[in-house]
Amino acid sequence: MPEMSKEAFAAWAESVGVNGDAEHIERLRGEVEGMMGRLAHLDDIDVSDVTPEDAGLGHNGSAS
Amino acid sequence: MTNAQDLTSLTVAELGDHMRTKKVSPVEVAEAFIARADALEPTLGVFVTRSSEQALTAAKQAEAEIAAGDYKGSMHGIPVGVKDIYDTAGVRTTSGSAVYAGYVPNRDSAAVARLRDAGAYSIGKTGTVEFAFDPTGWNSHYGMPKNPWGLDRMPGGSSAGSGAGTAAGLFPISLGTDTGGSIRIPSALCGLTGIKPTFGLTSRLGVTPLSWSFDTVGPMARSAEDAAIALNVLAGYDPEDPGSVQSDKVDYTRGLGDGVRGLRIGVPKEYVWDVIDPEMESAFRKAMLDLEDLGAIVEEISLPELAWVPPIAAAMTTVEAATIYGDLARARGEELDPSVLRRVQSGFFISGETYVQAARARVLFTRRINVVFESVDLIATPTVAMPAPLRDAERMLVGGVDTAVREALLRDTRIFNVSRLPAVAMPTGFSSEGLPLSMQIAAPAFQDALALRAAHAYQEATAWHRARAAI
Repeated sequence: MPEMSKEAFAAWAESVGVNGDAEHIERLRGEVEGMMGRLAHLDDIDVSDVTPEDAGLGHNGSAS
Repeated sequence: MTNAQDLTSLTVAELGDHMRTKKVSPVEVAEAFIARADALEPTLGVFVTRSSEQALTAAKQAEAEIAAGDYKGSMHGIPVGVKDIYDTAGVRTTSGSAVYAGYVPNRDSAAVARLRDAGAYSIGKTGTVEFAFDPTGWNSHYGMPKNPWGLDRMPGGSSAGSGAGTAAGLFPISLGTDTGGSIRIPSALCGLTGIKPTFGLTSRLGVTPLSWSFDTVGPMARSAEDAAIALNVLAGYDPEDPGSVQSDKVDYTRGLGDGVRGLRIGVPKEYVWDVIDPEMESAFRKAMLDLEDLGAIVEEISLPELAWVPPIAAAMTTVEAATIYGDLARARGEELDPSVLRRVQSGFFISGETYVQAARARVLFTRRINVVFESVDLIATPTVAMPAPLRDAERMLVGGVDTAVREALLRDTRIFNVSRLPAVAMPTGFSSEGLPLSMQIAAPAFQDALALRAAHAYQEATAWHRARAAI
């Protein structure tokens, strides 16, 4: 996650329905930053051999 | 006649044998465990809700059935600690949450129903982390159970009460659930044998969800044999669980005694050893030597993709948990434990693109580990990186590495949640502080019996699983 100011994170949090006092938001910011740092490693994995269908995410082509 | 103290130290197999041969009655068994719980519950805080009267009623029924020659098997007359995220008809199921403090299901979860059909019964609902969403055992609403091996130590979670209670002899076996390690982590920290079955082998119907694609139901026991006995009852296809998988009917106790001679056990050379307590590693290496003495072939394997496990597991379970509990967090967040609330809310910040990337990476990881299983029969690692941490520890040095306790607890167990494979945790000794050490042995999908067989062979040759906490 790119570095984000307290204010920017608070605005983002509000936009996804997170409410709480400043202490809660600040602790959440720390946890989200830590998590995003770990999740960034996912981008290094070449998953081109795995179709979305393989991952249970495909569809059968019909609209229904 | 065995006295009450002795009864509560026996395994399910031993208790079942005593009841089958009428050396002891189911009512005596129930009374012994209830009395021990009366004595120790104030210290340990294992239960959210006790069911002593219902337990005695069920024990009397079992006694009548056995007396009439209707013996149903080794679980008949066995009291079970039931994690408080399993629905139990007529007994509240809080899911560790204040929000559900008054929720009383009108139907048993599939697992509880299967146990009841086998003649077993719930002796009470055991403490869990709220929505099973943490590996330490923490719960601000109902308290964190104490680890009988060290009252100042965390029991592990999320199946904390099941772990602490089985270890303390408040019941001989319990139900846990495992999304990232929640059966195996408290089993490791409390000196138990617990199996996370293959995903889809056991029904999750009536179990409070945390992560649809990771949640697994299984037993926490005092031996691999007891885990096998329970899995015989719990395993089976359930059309009411969308994750349930049709599989062959297996008697998990049948091949337990076949030993490990000729079995190839792979030990990863990467990842696991980056964060490891020296005593945990030493006990694991000794266990591998013990298995070699029994005829197993232990060899190093390479699986660098193990490094993918934490981000795959974190992305998928957090998003799925946020999907399940997001509305609740938004509407009644102040009623949730603050740490659980933050964990749920964290999922709001993970993009759909990241979730899909993790789902595809999970498939790739599973393919890679299945390739490894073409050259070995089993994979073994320590279950957790370190023995039970202090109850309030958030960070600690593990093998000289400053690490978050939560991540250190999860890093090895999650390997087999991501790959959906069966894994059995079992004791391998004790630390210099007298805390249990543990390893896990995993097998290919639906070869749960093979993992249990290896665990049983190890336990036939060692006595770590027989140790009882002096409490």
